[in-house]
Amino acid sequence: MAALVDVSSSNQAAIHDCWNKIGVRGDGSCPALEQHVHCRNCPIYSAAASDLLNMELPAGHMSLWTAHVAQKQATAEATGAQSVVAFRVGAEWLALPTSAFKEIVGHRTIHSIPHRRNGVVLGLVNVRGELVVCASLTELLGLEPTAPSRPEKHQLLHRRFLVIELEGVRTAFPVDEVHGIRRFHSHELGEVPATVASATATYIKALLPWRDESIGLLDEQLLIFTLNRSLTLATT
Amino acid sequence: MLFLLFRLGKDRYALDTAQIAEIVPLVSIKHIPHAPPGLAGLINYRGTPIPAIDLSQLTLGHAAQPRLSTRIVVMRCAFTGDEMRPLGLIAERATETLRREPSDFAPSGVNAEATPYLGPVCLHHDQWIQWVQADHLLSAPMREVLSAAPAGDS
Repeated sequence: MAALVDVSSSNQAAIHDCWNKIGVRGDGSCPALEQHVHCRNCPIYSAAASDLLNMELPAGHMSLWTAHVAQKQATAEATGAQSVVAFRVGAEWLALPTSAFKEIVGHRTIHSIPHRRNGVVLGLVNVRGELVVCASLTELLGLEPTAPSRPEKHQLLHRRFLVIELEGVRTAFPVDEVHGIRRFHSHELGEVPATVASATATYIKALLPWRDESIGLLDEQLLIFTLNRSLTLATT
Repeated sequence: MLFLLFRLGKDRYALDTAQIAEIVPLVSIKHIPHAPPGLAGLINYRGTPIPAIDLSQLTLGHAAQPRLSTRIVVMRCAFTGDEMRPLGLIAERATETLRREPSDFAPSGVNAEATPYLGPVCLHHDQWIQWVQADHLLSAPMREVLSAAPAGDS
């Protein structure tokens, strides 16, 4: 939507734009800067913004918005759109529902837990001061282990930890790369070929075509079930 | 909880954002003849007619000023039976939000028999903010008018 408000009109005359004169966009001599650091933290600045919003409706504003609001909006629920976060583990592109994500954090040290080595549980990682169990998707899904050759430096830069919360339990999964959020409609999904013999196929509920490859949508319920079982094994 | 702040005259009031579907700029309103005071009329919201309440008209007796900061808050309310229907509220200076817990609000101590939508109050910058409970906004005559109208959702 184009900018509808002409701020250069006479309305602006009433607003004293101190931020352009003595504030951060001026010479910076305003004594209040010491307290607020930046004009955007200053109550005078926000009061000016509020005054600007309080001006009379510009000509044509109402009719334009009336037409805009009258248009039907395709909502996510109505069209069956879903959103997932796509990421790469080894050579496989996988995805989990965006709603399961708490955050994605940079690579960090995994603190191993003594005598608790079953492959799936890698250890604990520190996420904002909270210790989160770190599990390996490679082990959990039975993926082909990545080539033992030393990864290139630029590949290491893409490594992330996915912090997932499923059924109230937070888990961190190291991944090699995160693509980002993908939105799709359910009719775009493809069936998992029955000929896929890999153990991964059990955990993939559908395939989403992307570029020349396809992203495997993970079944988060099955994932959490397997993970919980592995955790129980790891702690008994 | 996140609240949307707005003004009625000089005083500030709050709406629970959990009930808000969308906030849209002021659009043109089709007036309803013989409508009870406060019921400003119908607006075209995404292709369906929905009723709009002018909060200033309802509480102060004068229509909201046509300004950029006067907006229509589209709420999801159960105003006729249990069915949730969209309802537009015309609110002045609906430009700020405030995060408060329900426990921060204290009973206003004022008998609100005539105005059942005026809820508890809380302090913000030395100013009392009153919680407006949208489910109770519609008076009996308004409900009567609106129950005859077909539902907005279809």
